[in-house]
Amino acid sequence: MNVLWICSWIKHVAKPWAPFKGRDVQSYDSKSLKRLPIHLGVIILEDNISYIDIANIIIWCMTLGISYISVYDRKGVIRQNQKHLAEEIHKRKEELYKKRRESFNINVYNGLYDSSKYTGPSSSNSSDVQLLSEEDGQLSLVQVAKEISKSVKEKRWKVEDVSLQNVENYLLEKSRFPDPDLVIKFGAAECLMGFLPWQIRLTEFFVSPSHRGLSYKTFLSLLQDYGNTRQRFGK
Amino acid sequence: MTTWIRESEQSWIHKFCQAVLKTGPIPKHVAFIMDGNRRFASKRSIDRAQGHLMGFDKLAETLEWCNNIGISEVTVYAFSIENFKRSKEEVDGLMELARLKFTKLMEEKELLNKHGVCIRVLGNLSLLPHDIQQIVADAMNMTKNNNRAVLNVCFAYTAREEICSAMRDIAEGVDLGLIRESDISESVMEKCLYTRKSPHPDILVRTSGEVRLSDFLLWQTTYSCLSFVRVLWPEFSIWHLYAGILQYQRNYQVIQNAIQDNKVKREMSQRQSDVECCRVELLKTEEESITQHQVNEYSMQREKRIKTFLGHVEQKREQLLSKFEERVTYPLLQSS
Repeated sequence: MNVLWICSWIKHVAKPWAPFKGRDVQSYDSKSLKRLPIHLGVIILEDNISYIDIANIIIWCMTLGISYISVYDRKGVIRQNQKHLAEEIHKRKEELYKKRRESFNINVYNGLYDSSKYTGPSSSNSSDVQLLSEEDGQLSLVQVAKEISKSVKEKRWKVEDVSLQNVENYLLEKSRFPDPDLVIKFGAAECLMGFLPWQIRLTEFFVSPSHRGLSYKTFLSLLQDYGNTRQRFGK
Repeated sequence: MTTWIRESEQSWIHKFCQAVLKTGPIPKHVAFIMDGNRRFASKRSIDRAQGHLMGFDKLAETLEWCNNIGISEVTVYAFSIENFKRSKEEVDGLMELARLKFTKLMEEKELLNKHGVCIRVLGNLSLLPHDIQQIVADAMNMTKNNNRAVLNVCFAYTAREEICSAMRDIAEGVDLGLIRESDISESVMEKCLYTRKSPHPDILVRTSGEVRLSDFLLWQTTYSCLSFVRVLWPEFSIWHLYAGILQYQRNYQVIQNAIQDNKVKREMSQRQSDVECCRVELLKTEEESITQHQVNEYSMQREKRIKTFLGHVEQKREQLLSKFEERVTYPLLQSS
């Protein structure tokens, strides 16, 4: 009886020291995934946003080797609270450093066309995160249409130059992120709510009921499912 | 049965279910990615051409279900520009199927007019064989005045090519001085897309269990209810359609709220832009005041410019279609 009581007391006291719920990120997990997305998108449709859980998702992505992450909520609440998210990410980075003596770099950008986005090659210990909202969808394409029109008017482009290849390249250069391979939608609504219409041409969409209290186990199993799918690309 | 329009008797259970569904909102426009014909063919050990034929039958059946329940507009993804990458044999087979079906459509003129069905073929039609261009242009011309139901067939289509073509038309408009860079808005973009005469789809259905949009109506479906169904297209049933409608009803309020919110944002943004542009045009500084009347005048002028520009775009499209219609008559004249 005493032993049991001591064990439960230790477990109770140890709780604040355990940053990850349940099983921890193991380095062999990324090798167990057949296919890893280069760019993972997260759509939060829920009104009640948990920055702790979003920070967890970002850290998990980074340790698994996912270089690009997008976090979207239609109204842009997360973008407005970038500082709060940065604090939570920082806390987890510190915990991870204490545990594994590895240091990681996470760059957080605000919006699809954030001009401070890094343009150099990506490194293995760093991930880029872009916080997105509705304005980065149709409105950003309108912005591009205006810029292209200006280029044509100022004779830098000809009308014939407004080809699919050139527009695709223009958009990739401007956003500096590749198209998302996988997007996980959290929340009950069965709708993308304005998420990056141009970039989701070939994106796979997975759903999960809630981002709040998301476990690493659930997250990993979603990535494992992604690894098992196969695309035909129109052929 | 290989006709486009069916008029079969409805069972009482279908009528009952429809009545129940009609107590809630019914979608006006449903889009379908009819995926799974080839996998269905291999599952049944029949050849691919047969699979596509059965896919067409399923389309005709689905159109009838939609018509019965009150869905007045249907858009289908029949052939993607990416599909040109398939084997020559399969591409030729699909073009032959299109030839057959559109020709049959012309024969069903009375039935189409009776049901008031308007057919539109959307895509980069210049990529199609000349004779199909002609048949397609004829089919559109023949049904263009019908207005009870609309069937949009996306053929030689991808959403990115559509958006890019809208951007090109807009850039040309600015270059020709028909519109100003500041006139460009989401609304103008939408009126330059191939789907400009249609409201956005309320539901997007994709069969065969794939959970991608595959370059289909990317702009238009950004607030649509997505229904990913696990069956292969030739196995799609009326119950899957009913389930999709129930899904739409469940998500109705939350989606409408988002659409409404977006609409308000657009209007506010347009208003702000008009004030700023008016100020620039009247050479007034930030401190000087401008009147509501002046801003309204500017808005009116802007709308006039946009109307002229859109008229120009429409004219270009009509000219292209006329070119397709005339094309095949030339060889006949030359041979005699």
